[in-house]
Amino acid sequence: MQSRQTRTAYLLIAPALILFIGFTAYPFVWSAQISFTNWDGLNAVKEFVGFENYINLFKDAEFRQSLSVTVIYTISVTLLSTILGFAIALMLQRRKRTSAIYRTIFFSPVVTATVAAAVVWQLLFDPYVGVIDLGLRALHLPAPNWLSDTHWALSAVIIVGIWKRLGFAVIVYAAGLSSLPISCYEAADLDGVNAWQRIRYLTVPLLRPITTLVLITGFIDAIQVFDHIFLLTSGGPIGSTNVMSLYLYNQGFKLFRLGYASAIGWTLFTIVLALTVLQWQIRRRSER
Amino acid sequence: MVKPVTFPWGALLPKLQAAIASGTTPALAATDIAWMANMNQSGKLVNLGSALGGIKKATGDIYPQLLTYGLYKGKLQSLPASTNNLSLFYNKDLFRKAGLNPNKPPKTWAEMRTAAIAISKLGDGIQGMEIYVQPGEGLTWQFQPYLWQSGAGFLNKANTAPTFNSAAGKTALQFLVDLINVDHAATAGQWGAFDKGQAGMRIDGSWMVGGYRNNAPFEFGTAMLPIPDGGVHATNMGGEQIMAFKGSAASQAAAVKFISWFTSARIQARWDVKTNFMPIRASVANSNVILKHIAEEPALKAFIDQQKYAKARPAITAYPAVSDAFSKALEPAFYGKISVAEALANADAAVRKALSGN
Repeated sequence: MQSRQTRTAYLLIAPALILFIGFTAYPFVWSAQISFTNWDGLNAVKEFVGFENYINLFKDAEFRQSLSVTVIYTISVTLLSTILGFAIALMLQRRKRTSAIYRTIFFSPVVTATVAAAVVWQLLFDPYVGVIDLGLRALHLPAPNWLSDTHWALSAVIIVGIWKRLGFAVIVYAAGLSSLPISCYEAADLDGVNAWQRIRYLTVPLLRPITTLVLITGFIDAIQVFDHIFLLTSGGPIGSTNVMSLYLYNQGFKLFRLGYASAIGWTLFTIVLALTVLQWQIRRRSER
Repeated sequence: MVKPVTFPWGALLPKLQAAIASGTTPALAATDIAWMANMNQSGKLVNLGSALGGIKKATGDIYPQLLTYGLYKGKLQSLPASTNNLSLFYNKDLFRKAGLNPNKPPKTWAEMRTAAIAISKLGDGIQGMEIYVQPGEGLTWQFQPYLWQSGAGFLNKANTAPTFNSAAGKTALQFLVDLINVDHAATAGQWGAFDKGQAGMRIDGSWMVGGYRNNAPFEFGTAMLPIPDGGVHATNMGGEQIMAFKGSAASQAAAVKFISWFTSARIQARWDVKTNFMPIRASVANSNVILKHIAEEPALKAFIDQQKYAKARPAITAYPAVSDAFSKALEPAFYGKISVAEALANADAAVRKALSGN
């Protein structure tokens, strides 16, 4: 009986397990192997080079630049989308009747195909016909060439990153806000607490688990960014938006350096893992 | 039956890498010549020379300079599917507006500069000349003709060392950098202004002719690439190679048969009419089909005249890395961040490193 149950259990998880082994576990181990070779992705021979790829990686100025671009991008997008998401969720809380409509509007970028969105953003950022620069010029403000200026390109892709991420933060915070105990607020009202103090001393601490969730998923999401940057700037100009996954892609699939690209992938994975563990620790400590 | 699958230019290589790694190669493929050195080493390509009764018989009157990419260790592993080159496209409407003669495209760098400045004075963000400055093979392949025209090289004959860091090389790069940063007749930025009628001139390939003829919101013309005083005619040779992958005997035989049919003079003439690519064989170039096509599409004349000046890029496995290193070193110069001398010196060091395999 027991063994039959076990067999059924294995049978039931088999489809998911096969997919996991085939599309996650196997490529995972395989790319680790490749990262110790100088394989070009085509050659019949995969020459073992030990830790050479990893050593070269830390001597590679372009990799260091892409690492710092990735850090700036990740922190900016995660923090700003979280803060904005929280603020918007608070405002929506007051508009009970229309909040469903607003939530749909803010969530729509999350489910919009990135390619389609990137095409639209490219037009918006256009220095001559783009709405953004036309607006800035109308206000007599400097209108930068967003995607082609080394000082502005990273800001431009960060703006798109926030736009894409914001909806998720709004929805999660809105759900969190609606589940907060009313009794706390009633007690606060009796004590004559003003609106700012309510947010500062009640809402923010009560929502801490939600904030941790939004931050962790935000970091993991942003650090792996590829699609809209690939479409908008391809990492340029002069590497100013060259995030790590884009650098990995170019090394592996344009320069035939699959071994090196795998080493970048494993370095990225190690960073994500370390950050996740760190955030878990912080979360556990704060929950105690 | 032939089942054709097409990919965007950039997506094809990753697909082939995955196919070769996983042993799921197609019967045949056609890819950019710039990747052939790497494809040749995969050990998965069919020896077309022996399959088609000897290299001589397999190639016939195909232009010899097009065979470089298919030969590997004395074996013929692919045949040219098409060839092309870069020439000058210009916007006749903008030429007229700027008071230039729309039927007299520039012949020299000086004339090109004068025209670019005149057009950029039209305002509204209109550029005189659109220059490709995004790093990668695009930048390298667009810039190489300027090097060759001014008498500089790219790599030495043995493809073991760079030769572009010379007085002539500096002249070539300075010309474009000045167009952007001194004359303000071009901007360093994203590619695509010419398509929208926002730039007076651009260097591009013959495959753009059909698209512009049907869709361009302006009247366009083409011309051979302008050359500097005392310079020589030169352009870059582009193209694709077609190859068969090892597989079952039946699949290999069918693939070889298809390649033989596809590269035949009769089919190539029809292919060139549809794609506006340049002929790979003398017999195609002189065929009635092609002569009639050129008569109907005058914009192709510049490309035909220029094909004999087309130079092949180095057919070595390090080329993608060399081109990437070269383009990245030049990019800051176009933005005016570093001097031309510094950019070329950086490029020289980076290319040497790429050639050494690191």
